[in-house]
Amino acid sequence: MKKSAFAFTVLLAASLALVGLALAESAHTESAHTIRATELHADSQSDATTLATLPENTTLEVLQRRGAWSQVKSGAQTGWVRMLNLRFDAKSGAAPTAASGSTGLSGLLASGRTSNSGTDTTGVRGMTEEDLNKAQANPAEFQKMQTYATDKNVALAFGKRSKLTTATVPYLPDPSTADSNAPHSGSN
Amino acid sequence: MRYLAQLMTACAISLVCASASAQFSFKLPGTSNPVDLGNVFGNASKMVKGIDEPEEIQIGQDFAATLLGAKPMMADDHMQRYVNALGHYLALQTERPDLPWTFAVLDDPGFNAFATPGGYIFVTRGLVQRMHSESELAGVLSHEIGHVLRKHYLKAVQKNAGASLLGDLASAKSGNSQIKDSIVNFAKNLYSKGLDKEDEFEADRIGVVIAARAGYDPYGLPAVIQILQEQSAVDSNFSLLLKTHPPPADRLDRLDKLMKNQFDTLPGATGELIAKRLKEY
Repeated sequence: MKKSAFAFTVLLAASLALVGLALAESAHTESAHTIRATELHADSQSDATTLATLPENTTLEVLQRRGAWSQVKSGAQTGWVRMLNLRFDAKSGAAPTAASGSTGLSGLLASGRTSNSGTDTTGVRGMTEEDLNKAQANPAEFQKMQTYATDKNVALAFGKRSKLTTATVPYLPDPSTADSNAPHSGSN
Repeated sequence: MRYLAQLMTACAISLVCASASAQFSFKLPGTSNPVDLGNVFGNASKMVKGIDEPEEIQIGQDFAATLLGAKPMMADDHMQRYVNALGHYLALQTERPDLPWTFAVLDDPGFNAFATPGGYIFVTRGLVQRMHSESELAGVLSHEIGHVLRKHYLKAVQKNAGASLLGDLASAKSGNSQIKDSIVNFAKNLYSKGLDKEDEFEADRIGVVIAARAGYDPYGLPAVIQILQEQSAVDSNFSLLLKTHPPPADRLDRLDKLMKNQFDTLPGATGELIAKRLKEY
């Protein structure tokens, strides 16, 4: 009884610490650079006012993304560029914590503890090649996985309740068969 | 006399199925596993025709059990139900809506996603946590769905597994432990090495379309690839994924050339906060 109360307190403290870190993380910006001359727009659309044309290889701070557009800061200017005109720079120093996403999961999934075991040895680090090599097939766990499969109605209901609008979109062509010399219009 | 006839037939078959003879263990009559000669011919014709859907699903189930042997599922009913609802909804936007699409979140702090033939798809807890929006998670799941639609893992089996493994995969239902072991070993090797890079590029370009069809912002997947760009391969959370996929910059270059402005007029939803979804499911 005493042991699990202690464990709970440690877990709660860790979760709170991670929430705190996550809030700090949300202020953290990403560093990227342009891979071609890129127009900086006042808003996240092609017909918004062009504020400047940023040269190829301009280093930027990326503030946020909205669809195909990223809001960036270049020197004193802030504006929007097409996100695929950017390549991100490798982070130096410590890797970001798992709480750096912003899906509202900060701290919720931090523990990695499975509820069935007192100590967790599988959850402390990411899967490696060695983990795969040593793995024994687990048919019982697979049967458990199957219990969560949804039927079509549940799947369709997901879309409806989420108010997602389905669209007819053809697959993109295989570039090895398409004309690979077609001009690319990516600098707007 | 019967013994000699069977021995000679076994030798004849060895000559016919050259690669099979290296891997089949022909046991002589009187021992515990006599050769089923009818099965050998049956196997050869399956190899020529390809793998049918029930066999594809069986292979996928064995691959899935292998992955679950490396990392178990997260003990979180809400998360598992949610990812199944989202994933299955995405799969319905494709030409194979009736596969037994099943999704799972592994209890793994690393950043990874896997698919098996037949529609069994995995993401890790570490991946889900690092998503900035539901549209990013939808992008990842759509990429994995693309691997299943184009049978990338199945092609790897056909290309690399050899005649005997191929032929016996469906009869793995018989419970022959040697065959099961071969399948499991093949799976481990495949997930450690990764697919051909062209398969990854194809899954990317299919993935953005599936997300768009479902009503999500198709730039979710490219945004995830940008996350990968920032990571060091030395960080064990990302090392397996970075090792088994083409460089993120190459993936973005290809999507860049293909996507252009085509998706600009679609609504492109960001989706719901995952923390909120866990309360719905």
